[in-house]
Amino acid sequence: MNYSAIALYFFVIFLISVFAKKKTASSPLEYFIAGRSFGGLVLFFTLAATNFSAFFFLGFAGAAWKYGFGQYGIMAIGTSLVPFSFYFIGKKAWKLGKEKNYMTLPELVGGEFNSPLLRKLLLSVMVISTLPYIYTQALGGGIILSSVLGFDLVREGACLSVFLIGATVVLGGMRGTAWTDVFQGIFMTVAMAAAAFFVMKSLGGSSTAGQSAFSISPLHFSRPGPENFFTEVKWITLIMLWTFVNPLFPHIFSRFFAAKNTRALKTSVWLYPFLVGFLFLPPVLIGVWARGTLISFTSPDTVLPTMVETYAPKFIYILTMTGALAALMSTADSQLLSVSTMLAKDLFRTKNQIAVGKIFTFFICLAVCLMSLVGVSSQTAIFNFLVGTTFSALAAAFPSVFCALYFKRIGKIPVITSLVAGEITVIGIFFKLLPTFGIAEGIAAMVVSFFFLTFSYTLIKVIGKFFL
Amino acid sequence: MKKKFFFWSIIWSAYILLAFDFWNWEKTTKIIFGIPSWIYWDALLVFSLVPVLFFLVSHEDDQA
Repeated sequence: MNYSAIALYFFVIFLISVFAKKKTASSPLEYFIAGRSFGGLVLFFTLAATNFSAFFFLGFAGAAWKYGFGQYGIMAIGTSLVPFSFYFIGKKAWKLGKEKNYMTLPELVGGEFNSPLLRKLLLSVMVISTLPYIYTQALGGGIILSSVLGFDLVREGACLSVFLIGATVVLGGMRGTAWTDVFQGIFMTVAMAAAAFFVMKSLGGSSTAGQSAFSISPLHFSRPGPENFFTEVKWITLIMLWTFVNPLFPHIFSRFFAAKNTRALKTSVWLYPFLVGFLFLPPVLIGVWARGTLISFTSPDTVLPTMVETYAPKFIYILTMTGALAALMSTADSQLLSVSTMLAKDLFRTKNQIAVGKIFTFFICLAVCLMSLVGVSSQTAIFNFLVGTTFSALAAAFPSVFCALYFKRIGKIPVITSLVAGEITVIGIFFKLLPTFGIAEGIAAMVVSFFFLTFSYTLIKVIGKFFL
Repeated sequence: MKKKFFFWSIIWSAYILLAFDFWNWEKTTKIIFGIPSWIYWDALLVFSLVPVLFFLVSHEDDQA
């Protein structure tokens, strides 16, 4: 049954991708951003499925197992505030994209300031920030495939996962990834709800499961959680960080360009908190309930699979793991497409951008496959650095993007200064050369970035007024 | 529309204060159906953003 379920899942994804390919004309506009054709519901599902990665499926339950119910509060509230920035950034990006035919974030910022240097700088930040995540998703795919299919070949599974993801990208382009996102989004929602229902039933209902966990660890029911993990400062700065950073992810930003009109964007904006409110609770419940079961887990990421395997029927376990695969694939394919789009459009001046994009997709898949076969892991220094600085690196780029959208007259020099200063700060903070005073690293980097933006703008004005 | 948006913003701000429950930050609270009571406030806060966002976006004309 395990093999059939996984095979059926991939078959459906493949069919959707083939169908999307038939509907996609051979032009960069069509392949990279689906001809700016997404209506409200497709845009909503693709934004959600792209944003909710394997971390939502496996990481949430593990974090709740470690830190308690506070995980729901911070993630649900933080994520439901993100649509505000989706709206204010997405609306303007869509408008400029339509007017000037922009398809990537570096193209938009570089184009608005008429600066190829700024475009290349942003391209570097975006690509370097996204590549490690594609690798992480592929590793997750390897773990899930090994677990469901019952073999101990995580590295080979990661290799297989990334090429399957790459195949859907090459086949369907943006339209294919978005349509599969709709399927995967619905699939993972159903899988998560079913998992929580069956686990709850086996544990004797929500009240009994909750009381068992409470009797063992009452601190998991407090907002700060064990060891006072969720402090007020952590709450506020993390929520701020997500609100600023989330729309800047290349795989999210590219979807703003793909909207049919502002109405589509509006629909997905107000529907977003509705899904978040429901969807984020089941994994947190399972994670906290796990405290009351006295099962010893090898790592937090195994909490959800172990709980479902132990307390739910086998077909629910397979459904849940396939749901986790859907969460992971829906993020990874969008990341892969957005990186290859940026490389094809922002790095080279070529007429055949689609072919270049597809070649980049293949080489990224190959690189990820080789990395997994060689055994690069979170313990590897460079990988640890890249993953540890992704959010901060994007946060440091926020002032540049904001100015390109709303304050173009500031000029390119302050923006370049701000971006460079922000990214240097990110590196300094990571290597403990600079303090953060207890706030999230990304927010600290963004503050520095804003400071240099204002400082260099003022300096240029003063020099212009008194010396020129 | 703007009035409705501001009305919901005020409701939502009140929820923030209540949901954050600063006065009981360090304490464990009452458990309802196996879930701490403050989670219901958090959920209400999240769902209250639906009308807030709806009224925020609907006062502007659509562009195609």
